[in-house]
Amino acid sequence: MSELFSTPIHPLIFFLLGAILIAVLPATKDKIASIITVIIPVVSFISLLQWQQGSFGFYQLLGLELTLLKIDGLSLLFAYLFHLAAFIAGIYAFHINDRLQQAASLLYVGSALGAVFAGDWITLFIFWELLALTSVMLILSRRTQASYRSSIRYFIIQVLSGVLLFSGALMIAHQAGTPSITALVLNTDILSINTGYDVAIWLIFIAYGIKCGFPLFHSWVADAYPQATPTGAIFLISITTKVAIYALARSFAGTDFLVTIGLVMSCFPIIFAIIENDLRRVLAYSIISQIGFMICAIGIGTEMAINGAVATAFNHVIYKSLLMMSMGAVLLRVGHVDGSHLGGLYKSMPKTAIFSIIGALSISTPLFAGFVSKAIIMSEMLKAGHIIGWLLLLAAAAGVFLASGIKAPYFAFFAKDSGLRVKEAPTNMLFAMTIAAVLCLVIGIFPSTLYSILPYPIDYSPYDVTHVVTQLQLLFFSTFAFVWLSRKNWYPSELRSTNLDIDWFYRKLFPKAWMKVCQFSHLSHQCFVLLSTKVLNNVVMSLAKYSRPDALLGRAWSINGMLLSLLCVLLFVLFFNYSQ
Amino acid sequence: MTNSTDKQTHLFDRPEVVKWTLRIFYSSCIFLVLIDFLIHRHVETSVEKVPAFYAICGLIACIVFVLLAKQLRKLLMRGKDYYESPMSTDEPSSNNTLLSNSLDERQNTEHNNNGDER
Repeated sequence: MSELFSTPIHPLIFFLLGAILIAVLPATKDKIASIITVIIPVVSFISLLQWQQGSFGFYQLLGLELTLLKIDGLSLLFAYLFHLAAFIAGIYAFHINDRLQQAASLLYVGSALGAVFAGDWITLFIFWELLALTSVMLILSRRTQASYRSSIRYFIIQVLSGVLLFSGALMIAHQAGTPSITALVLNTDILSINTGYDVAIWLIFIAYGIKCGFPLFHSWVADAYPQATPTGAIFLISITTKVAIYALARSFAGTDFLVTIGLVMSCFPIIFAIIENDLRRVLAYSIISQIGFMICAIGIGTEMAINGAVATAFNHVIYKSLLMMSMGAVLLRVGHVDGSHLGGLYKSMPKTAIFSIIGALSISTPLFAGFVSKAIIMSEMLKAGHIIGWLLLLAAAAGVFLASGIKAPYFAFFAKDSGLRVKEAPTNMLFAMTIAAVLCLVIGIFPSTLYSILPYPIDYSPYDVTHVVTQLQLLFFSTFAFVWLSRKNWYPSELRSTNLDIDWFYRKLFPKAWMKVCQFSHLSHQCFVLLSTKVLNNVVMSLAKYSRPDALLGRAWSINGMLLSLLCVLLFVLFFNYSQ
Repeated sequence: MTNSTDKQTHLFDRPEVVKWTLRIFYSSCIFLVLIDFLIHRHVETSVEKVPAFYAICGLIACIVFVLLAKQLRKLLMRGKDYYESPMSTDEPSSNNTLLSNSLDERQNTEHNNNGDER
């Protein structure tokens, strides 16, 4: 084979070409733009299938040797996943006629692919920031005031993550001599950090943490995703956080601290999801919880655990997209996704309702996708000896099923009939949901389809009697809890409201505190001006007073008096001169 | 979007369907607990030896989450327009960017329009 074919074509090139084509197409060719968004992932995927593992595309920047493409099992799996997500989301968005959104979504997927294939932190940083820049367009495209504000907050947080990554990358490149992406050891004993290298690792860790929504950094997920367009949200949930999961798996596998973070992350969002009314925000919280599972697995760090993390990431993209697509269809048809004002939609959107239920079951029910991957994480948790952690994950698995799996479909499609009668979702949306639903079932029934593309060899069978029965017990009884609490009226009712989260600090407290600082400085400035004018005025007035013709400074002095004063001054100088 | 005027009854409008669905669900729950005594579960931890451990775990976890959520709601819940009123005055100035121009144009059609369907 010739040299030309042995060097892989960077997938970004396809996506960039697609985006340019969409941008320059005449306004009348709307359908062609939609076709491009679906075709490009297919073309790029076919090109990807020819690839061999290895490093390609070396270049120099800032005097550093950089690698554009580093291909191995882990990066290939995520690349397959992003192509699949882009294809499904492209079909889901087929009906739209918004060039900004279409071009941005293609570039977004292209940058994600660039990020997973990046061989060094500088290249990763470039794509990291491109991800922020392109994804923000998918929120802006909603074109409402709320989404505009949300997108600015999202953008600032994402860019901040990039800046931290870049600082860390430069420090590591300086210390280690090369910015190649390697496994890093996080020094969790904060007090003993005394080298720049440790600080650099922490900077990179926090950059990754912001991007995948660690506790305290998670609020952007719940803030931005519900503000995105119905179609843009599908791209968003599939990509940004998964790139961060990939990056963590690559550099921080086996970091114990991640298990703790993952456990917190898998549990606390469930509470927020239960009281949240916006069903897309409910799903956003459940995304954070699911990412917690992956983080736990990365923290354990064995080959099998990493397999579990990436398999969960893979399935999570498919079933969460399916749930988000069903909610997107509701948003499109009804105009909102407030649980309090929905209900009974199964009557007019029966197909969407069924897809939504399949998505919910896929979170962790046997025969559906989530089950076959989460099972690996649970068993690795036990093998690693984290009994408490395993119990917490079990609770989180039950809780997330209750808080998003049951809640979202129930309040949208069943519950009390809201009287809304709308059209069924557009055909293209139904088609996209069908693909995702079929994938959920295929992976669930034939887990080897997914297991065969995992980065490490795997010998695991999720289907044994114990496992199936125990999982069913867990899920049936979390459903039972929901039914029982609802009938007792103890389940928090759906209310149109705002629930405070970490974003309260930067949306309310800091602006308010800043206002107070501004007010104080304004006030003190005014006081100063007032006071100083008064003092100056007095000085000028008294000068004027003493300078009048007959006053002390203004009147004519006699020669004797002047000589006497001069004599006094001279004596004074003389005295001090000799006294030293 | 139209409000309900049709009198057609749907699946879950019929009380007996709801009743039977719940009955089947409750029986499945009982069946799952009973089967726990019949099959031999292989256990890896001592807590798993508790009969119907997973059922209890699922039930308790969910109840705890819901009760916690109820308490948290008292602390965290605010009005819908807590952060920004829908007609707030500090909107981005319309003469700055193309984007805000298009935002202003779309202000009127904002309601019930998600930017997707035009």
